[in-house]
Amino acid sequence: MAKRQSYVGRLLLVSSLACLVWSAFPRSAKADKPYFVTYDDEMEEPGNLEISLNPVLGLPHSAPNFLGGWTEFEYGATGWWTTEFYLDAQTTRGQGGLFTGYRWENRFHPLADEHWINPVLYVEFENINGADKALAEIVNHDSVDNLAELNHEARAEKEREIETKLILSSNYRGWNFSENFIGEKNLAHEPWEFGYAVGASRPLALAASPHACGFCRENLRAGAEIYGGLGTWNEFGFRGTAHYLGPLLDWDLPGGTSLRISPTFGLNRNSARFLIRFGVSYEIPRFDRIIRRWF
Amino acid sequence: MNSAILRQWKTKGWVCLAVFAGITFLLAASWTVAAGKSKEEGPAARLSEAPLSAQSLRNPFAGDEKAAAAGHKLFEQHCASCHGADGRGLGHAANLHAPAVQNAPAGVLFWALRNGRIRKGMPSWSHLPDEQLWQLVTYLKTLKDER
Repeated sequence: MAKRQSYVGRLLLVSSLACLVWSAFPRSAKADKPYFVTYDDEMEEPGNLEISLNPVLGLPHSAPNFLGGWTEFEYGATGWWTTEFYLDAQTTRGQGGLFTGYRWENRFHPLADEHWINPVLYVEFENINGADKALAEIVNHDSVDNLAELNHEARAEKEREIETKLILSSNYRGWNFSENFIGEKNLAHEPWEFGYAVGASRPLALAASPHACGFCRENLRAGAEIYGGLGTWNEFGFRGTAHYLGPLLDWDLPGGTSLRISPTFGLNRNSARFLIRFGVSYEIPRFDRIIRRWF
Repeated sequence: MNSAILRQWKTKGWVCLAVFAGITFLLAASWTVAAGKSKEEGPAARLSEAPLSAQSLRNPFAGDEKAAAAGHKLFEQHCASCHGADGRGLGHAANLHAPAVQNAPAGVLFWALRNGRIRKGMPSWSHLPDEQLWQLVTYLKTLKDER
């Protein structure tokens, strides 16, 4: 009981600090990303810092319900390089909550100009444990069985991995089509694991209205994404892998805040039955200038 | 004994990672700052790279006051943090009142917005619909009158 109170206390403290920091920064630019798992070719603007909370509520049929997710700090280092740091955590019904690890990601835009298909290269180092339920991507034979493991047992399993992605993205008449090919390698002599994510989205209105508005169609973006595992180097394919499909809705509020939601459905027996993903992002424009002012 | 060694290595790992992440962040920040201080070529250099086909693109909103107002709103959302609220440029960002920008054909400005200049810090705005890019171009052309 005391442990639970201390957990709630810490959560309240962190939330209050986050609100304080939130209110101290300027607001102007807005975030545009509609996807949770799929990446498009949009890079963070140089000097901008985006802070994002991405909880996922999982309702698997053969495992306890859980609330996983990640906190994301995305910084535009240059026009062609975006770096991100993630902190993952989860809480499972009847098993309590825990911090499950961190991830550090870098995305590189190799081409100078816009093309029909725009490639982005992605490299990530992750140090998470087996209890991680962020479901930031699905690879290998990740399945609902992994979600059924008890937290105190699963957390003992260390996963230090390098994850690479080839991101291909096209923008055409307001539509964005993005395809990701994922290759992940556990540094502990395990074979390469593969996965995919595909997404499409479009704003509900293509032209902007001349007036400032919060709930107008140009600020809403709808789409869908599908993602899943592709086995390993030795067992490549769909057999025994989990797949998910979900519609997406993104709402860019005036002032730099963006809200997203995606009810996601497991497509086979290996998948969790139902997930609800939420996202709230806030972008601090020209964070580099704020830092420079401090020194 | 083994668990004590493991704990020690774990602590070392965390410290190394924190130092590594800190150094990377500082490098990234200093890179951005250095880019800001470095002498930039004017916007003319980028606009001159536009293909001939861009010059013949017609702005569907040319002269449309509502489109210019929408463009102004988009400018405040996406561009003002670098180019300044008045478009005269902050730091290394281009002055959009400059003749090179104002005399450029609308299609060339559209091309420049869509492609950006990512090696020099100007992001690509290709994720915005074409309609919104044209609205931005329409607004940029009104800056000519304010010089």
